[in-house]
Amino acid sequence: MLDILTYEFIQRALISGVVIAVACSTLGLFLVLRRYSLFGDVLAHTALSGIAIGIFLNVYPLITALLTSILASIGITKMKSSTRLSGDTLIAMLLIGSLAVAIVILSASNGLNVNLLSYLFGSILLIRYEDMIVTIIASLSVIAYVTANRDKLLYITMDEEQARLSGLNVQAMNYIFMVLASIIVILAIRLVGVLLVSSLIVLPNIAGIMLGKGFRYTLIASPCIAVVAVVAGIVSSYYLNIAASGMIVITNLLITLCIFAYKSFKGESISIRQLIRI
Amino acid sequence: MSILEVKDLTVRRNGNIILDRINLSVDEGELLGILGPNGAGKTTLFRCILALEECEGSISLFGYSNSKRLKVLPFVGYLPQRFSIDTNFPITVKEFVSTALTTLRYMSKNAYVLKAKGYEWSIIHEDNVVDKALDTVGLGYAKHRRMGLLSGGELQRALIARVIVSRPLILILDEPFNALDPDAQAKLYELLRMLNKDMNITIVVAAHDLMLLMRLAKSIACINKRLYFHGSKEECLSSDLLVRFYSESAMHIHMSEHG
Repeated sequence: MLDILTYEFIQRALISGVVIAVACSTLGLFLVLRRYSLFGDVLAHTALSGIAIGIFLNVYPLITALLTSILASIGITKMKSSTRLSGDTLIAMLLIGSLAVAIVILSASNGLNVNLLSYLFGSILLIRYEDMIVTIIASLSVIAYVTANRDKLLYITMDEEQARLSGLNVQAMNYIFMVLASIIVILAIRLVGVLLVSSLIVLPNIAGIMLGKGFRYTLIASPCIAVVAVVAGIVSSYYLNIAASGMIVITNLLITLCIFAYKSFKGESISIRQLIRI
Repeated sequence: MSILEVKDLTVRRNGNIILDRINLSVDEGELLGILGPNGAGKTTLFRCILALEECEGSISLFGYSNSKRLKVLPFVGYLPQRFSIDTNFPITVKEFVSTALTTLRYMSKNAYVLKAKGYEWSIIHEDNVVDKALDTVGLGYAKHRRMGLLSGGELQRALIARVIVSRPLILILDEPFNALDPDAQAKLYELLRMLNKDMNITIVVAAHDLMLLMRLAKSIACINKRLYFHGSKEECLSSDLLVRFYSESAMHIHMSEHG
């Protein structure tokens, strides 16, 4: 049964998958609570245009992807505070715009090939040793930052004005937060691909929030759910010979639905409508 | 020296004057009640004091004027008029009140800034400041409850608990009595008196309830875009200002409602 663990590529996939899942869900909790659930999607799509630029210029695509998504995240933060456009308008424009840019550049550089598919749908089983090390370092940095600053981040998420009054440098923290969000999106692209990135950020947290407990509890519960989903997804994909990314997201969805069913059965009403909004 | 001083504060928005040359000063230990109808600019005044909105004129807190006052803002506790939280937001009452510990850390680091102007603020080392604050506002029974499940009055008390955790030197409350039933109003009234008397916290409170404010406050300011009155409550009562201010019929209704 455990012979699967003897394969090095599975080991690499599991280790990277677990750290990415934890990083995405910890930072993701704040994104969800700030009503930025679709933010991950936007960053992933802008990252896609970055990947296209990388393929076009023949540099490592995830580097250009990181740059474009950092630029986009800073841009969104600035535009949100300085224009009258609402969050969903901005997100719709950026989603479509960056996808269009990606298509144009890719078609110009004959980049619409298999290589692109691995970015679209994830390729965690193909992760190399060096990539795994980078992934671990980046994920652990994000996890460490969020854990160390959880109280401040919570304060800002809940009550930005009051947080500013209490002497927190809210603006600086917001920018750092957005840059970290770009980093986890790039990591998540490796795991589940551009198209499913936001599932990794949103789903475990929706499940965690549904449990209806306090902040500390949720901050631990969500990553646990994410880890279970990633491990189950990778292992089942090996035995069933299907795409890992899809299985990770489906497992995550199943866990969420189970919690929802359990809560409904117990008669505790949950309104997730409030949560999945921008 | 006044702990809070507002000089010629004017606020214009889209060509309209919201506040017109307001002058106010609040001494240490005072309990100032701010009276004014809806739209009088009370909230704007508070937000200007807290540097949340732009304005003309000068404002000084603890002897620091204008932009210099930013570093002493954490020593001011502020209770906004409106605060809402999603029903699903995963946070317990205790965790919510604990967020103020962040403020507390900032304050203990910057207490020397106040000391330079002769104001004393020292951190009180207690393990359970949060529990104590919750007991003070009478919310100890709900500390493990999720914030989204609190009633309006309980939410208000949780907010006050969060404010008093950091032991601010000034407390600014924007219509805290709204949305509270008479029992909760009475409790809040006692709490504010206690904070002012026993903990020597300077309080500025805006309210509509004339009778309540008259009993609670030591001095009164009446604002309706501009300052109509600022003085002791005895002077305020003896003038015919209130009648003019609220109009006779309004006073009548007011008396019968609360009398």
